[in-house]
Amino acid sequence: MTLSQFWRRFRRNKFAVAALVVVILLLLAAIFAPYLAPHDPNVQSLPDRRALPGGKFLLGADEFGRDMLSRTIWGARVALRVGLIATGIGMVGGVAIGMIAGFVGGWLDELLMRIMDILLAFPYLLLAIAIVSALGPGEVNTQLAIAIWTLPSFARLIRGSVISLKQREFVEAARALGADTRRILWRHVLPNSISPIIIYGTLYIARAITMEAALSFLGMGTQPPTASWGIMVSAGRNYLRTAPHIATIPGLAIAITVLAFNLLGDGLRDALDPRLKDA
Amino acid sequence: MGRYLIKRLLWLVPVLLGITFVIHTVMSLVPGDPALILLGDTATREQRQALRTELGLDRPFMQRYVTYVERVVTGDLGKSYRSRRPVTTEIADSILPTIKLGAISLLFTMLMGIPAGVLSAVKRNSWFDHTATLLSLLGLSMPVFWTGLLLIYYLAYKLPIFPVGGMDNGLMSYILPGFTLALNSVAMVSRMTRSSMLDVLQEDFVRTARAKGVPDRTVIFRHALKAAFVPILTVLGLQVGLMLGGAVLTETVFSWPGIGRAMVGAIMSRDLLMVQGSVLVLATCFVVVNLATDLCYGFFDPRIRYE
Repeated sequence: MTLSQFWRRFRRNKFAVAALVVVILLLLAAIFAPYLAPHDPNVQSLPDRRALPGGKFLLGADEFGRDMLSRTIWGARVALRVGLIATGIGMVGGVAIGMIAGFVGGWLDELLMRIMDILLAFPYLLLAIAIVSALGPGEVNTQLAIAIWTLPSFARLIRGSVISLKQREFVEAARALGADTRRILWRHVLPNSISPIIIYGTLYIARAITMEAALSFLGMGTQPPTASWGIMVSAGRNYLRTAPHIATIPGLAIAITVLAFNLLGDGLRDALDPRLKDA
Repeated sequence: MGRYLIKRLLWLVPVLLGITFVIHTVMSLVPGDPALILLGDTATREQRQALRTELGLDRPFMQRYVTYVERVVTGDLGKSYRSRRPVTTEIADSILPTIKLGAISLLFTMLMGIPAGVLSAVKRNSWFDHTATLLSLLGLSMPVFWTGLLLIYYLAYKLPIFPVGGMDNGLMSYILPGFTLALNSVAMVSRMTRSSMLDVLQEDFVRTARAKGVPDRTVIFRHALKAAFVPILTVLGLQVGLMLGGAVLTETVFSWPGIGRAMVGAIMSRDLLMVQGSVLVLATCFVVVNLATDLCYGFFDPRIRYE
């Protein structure tokens, strides 16, 4: 599929196009946060504590009188950074494991996949919680925990794809022409598995962002005073009755971001590989 | 069936060993002196040394793992550093509220997700289908803890219908946390029901049933839904995992006295044995539920033969 063919198919899904625009805007907000944010996200102004939206602060102020709008913009940085890095690590690791397992087969395949099964046997969040509680909270450990959580899904996906590609004629032809395993994996198998990787990657960014927010909400992820959406919602919990904007605004930011990546992932799937409908 | 069951039960052994190994490995990554963390800095040097010997911290990794498994098998998960009570007692005290909450939200998931998915499939491309699809994507995208807070704000503060938290108000206290915990799952179950029903509705036996005059309702719910149920059941089984993990968030938001909230408290006070024990118990529950789900397949689809 050429790029213009892809674009023509992608364009048909209006939600996906809108989601792409939102994702681009979010990326821009994250990159240019220092220039976009009207205030310093960490400067406290005690007289403005819990100020409601409107007036001096467009989206109000939090429990320390910090500007909610600026903190929400800076929060995009944390969310996207964790989402992209964690998914990136999980994807690279998972793709490597999946390719080796699928291509080599035999006992190695069996061993690697059983390890992946065991990682998948942990209920949602709990493995990440265990990892973060052992290593200690913080952004880097959060990224690592989320990456380990995404790893088995990518490994399984790629393994399946490698096994089906392995028997295709063009791989056999490459082998007959004397290509070694490494060349076959890099030049033939990987390029043909790229669609599912991109689709899963996008959907997993959404999940990683949710997970970072959840861990930070529980106090185990990114640490204050860094503006993380999860921490902001957690702080706002104590003022829900009198200043509901503190919890609702960052929560809305999480929901919009995750929805955008989900819709984008769905759109990419429909355009690239409609067979993956249940991903 | 008997042989299959035994095979599957035996398979639990390596899986559970794997789970304990992962937990053991993760916990051995704890930086610093675990004895110091477990006992706190008020403990004397002798106490710490005693604990180190008791936990076998002075021995090599694999030896420690074997000891750990031996203790787990005999039901000894260690003592909670916070309460000084055995971890098993702590878990036994808090797991029931979590199970009740999980059961309620599984009920919500089925009562909302399955009918919504069926209706979406039957009325494909109608406004209902489009709305349901969009709502389920929204449900998948809203963070659980935020949904919970929104529900508290609107339905406990603004309109004081439900209690803000806790489980002292009978059935009423279950509604908001149950719904919150169910929301993500409702979205997934309805999506799966829709796509599975769409596949089945095209099949010959559905057309035959319609042709011979079976009422629509019977065709959809008795014939088609039953045939479409295996993938739905798989997703439902997986939701239990999502709920066991999601309970950590929901219970925190709603001050629910379950194992999830106990775990968060344990993590905050670095009560590592409690964390380790809770993760182990919840992961075991999840594995067992998945096995039970697999065993139910044959009931819905007699073509599935267990070997």
